[in-house]
Amino acid sequence: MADKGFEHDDPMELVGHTYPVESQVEHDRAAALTFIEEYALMGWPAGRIKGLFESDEYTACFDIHNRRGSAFIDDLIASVFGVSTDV
Amino acid sequence: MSEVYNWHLGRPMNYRFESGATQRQFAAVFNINRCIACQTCTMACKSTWTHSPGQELMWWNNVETKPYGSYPNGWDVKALGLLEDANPGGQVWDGAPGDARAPYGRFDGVTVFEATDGFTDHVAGYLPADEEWKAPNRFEDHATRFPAGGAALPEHLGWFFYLARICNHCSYPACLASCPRNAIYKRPEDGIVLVDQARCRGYRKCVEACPYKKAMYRPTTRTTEKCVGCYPRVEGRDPLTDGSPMEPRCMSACVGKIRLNGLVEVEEDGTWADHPDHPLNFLVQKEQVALPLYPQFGTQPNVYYIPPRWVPRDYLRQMFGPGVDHAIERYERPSRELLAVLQLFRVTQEMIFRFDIEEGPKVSEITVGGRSLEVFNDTVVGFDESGREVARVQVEEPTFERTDKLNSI
Repeated sequence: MADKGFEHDDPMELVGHTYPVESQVEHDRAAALTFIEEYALMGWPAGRIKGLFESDEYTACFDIHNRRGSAFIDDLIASVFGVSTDV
Repeated sequence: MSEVYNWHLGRPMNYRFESGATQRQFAAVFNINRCIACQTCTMACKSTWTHSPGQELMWWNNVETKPYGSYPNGWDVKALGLLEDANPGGQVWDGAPGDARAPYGRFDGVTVFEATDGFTDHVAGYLPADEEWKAPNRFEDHATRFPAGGAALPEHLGWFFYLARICNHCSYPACLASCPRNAIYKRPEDGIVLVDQARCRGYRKCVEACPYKKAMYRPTTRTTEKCVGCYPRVEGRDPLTDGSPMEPRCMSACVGKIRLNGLVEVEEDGTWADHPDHPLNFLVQKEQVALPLYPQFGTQPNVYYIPPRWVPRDYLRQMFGPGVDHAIERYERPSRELLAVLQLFRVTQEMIFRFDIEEGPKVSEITVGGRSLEVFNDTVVGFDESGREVARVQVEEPTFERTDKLNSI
């Protein structure tokens, strides 16, 4: 079982529809900004929010950080908090 | 058929019985932006109500990953398809918001009650096949390949979100309207919809009729069972709260603090009484930040959702109606009062009937959507049915530094 790939006639194969995403970068931007703003509204400081993206404990944030790089996250955090040495 | 007023649709509607108005209505707001699909709610319900023989495939509470997941498989796509087939191209809103009797505008299409002749069937629906109930997370966290060393789950690189669902305890329940035995009833004191197990003969018309597919057949008793709204807790019969109404198990177990539940007063015409200091009234009526799920079905469901802000709007408008853009705008840039009320989610097991806000200092100024937003560390206070304070929480989340003693166990 461990090495067996799926077969086309497998009734359990994923058959979900593909929904269009205009730009993967824009999607990542929207997702990351959601995290940043949600925590900012809870009073979290910028540096602590950045930590979410740097820790593999937080898969969604960490994946975006890995795909887009640290500067991408820094720019988004700065867009919410303003330029800060805390980031 | 009678004519009733459905304020979700902003118009009168055909229904089998005369009125859906109750004295009070069990209602809830789920903030989808915060759901992490931990399924704690699902298991809290399962371990309380559906752990017996014949209930193996019953999940009164489930959390499905949209757009891929659904329980039973394809329930919403099929229900939408039924109505589209009955009224091709006509399932549209005029979208112009009105007063409290038409906050989302007017729905010009047909509901599940109007897509039938009202004689041979009271409700348009379909009966899911047994297979469709068997995999509540099918197509969601489903292994896509089996590499050496373990299974690989799908990665959702596009958008997705988690939709937590229970029975909506609708104001115009389709299950109730469809029952040939009149075995289903809606309680006047709290609007909870229940199945009289002594009367039910298991015809499954309710399973067929409920567009949300939250009425479920139990083969061992040959009757329908469904979410009971944890009514003993709602009645205040749990000794923990000294007779005060208490949230159901799924709500009070929510780890992500996405749920807020309560009882709202209902007017004669079925609209909610105007109590802007009740947290649910505030979120649904005043701020209009929470919306009903598929209001076009016509059942006037009583679980409301704060829509996920990152999801394509076309998909959300189909799911929550034309109020989506307004709701997301309010949620992204919350008013000072809204930001405080959002802190009340899951801070107590007791139902909150009134809130008060004590103003605090300004703690930050951030930029949201290109515009400045001041954040104040206000304190929101929640009161139970008798006016007793049961919750007090601040906007700024308190943090605690763990001492050097690493483990207290």
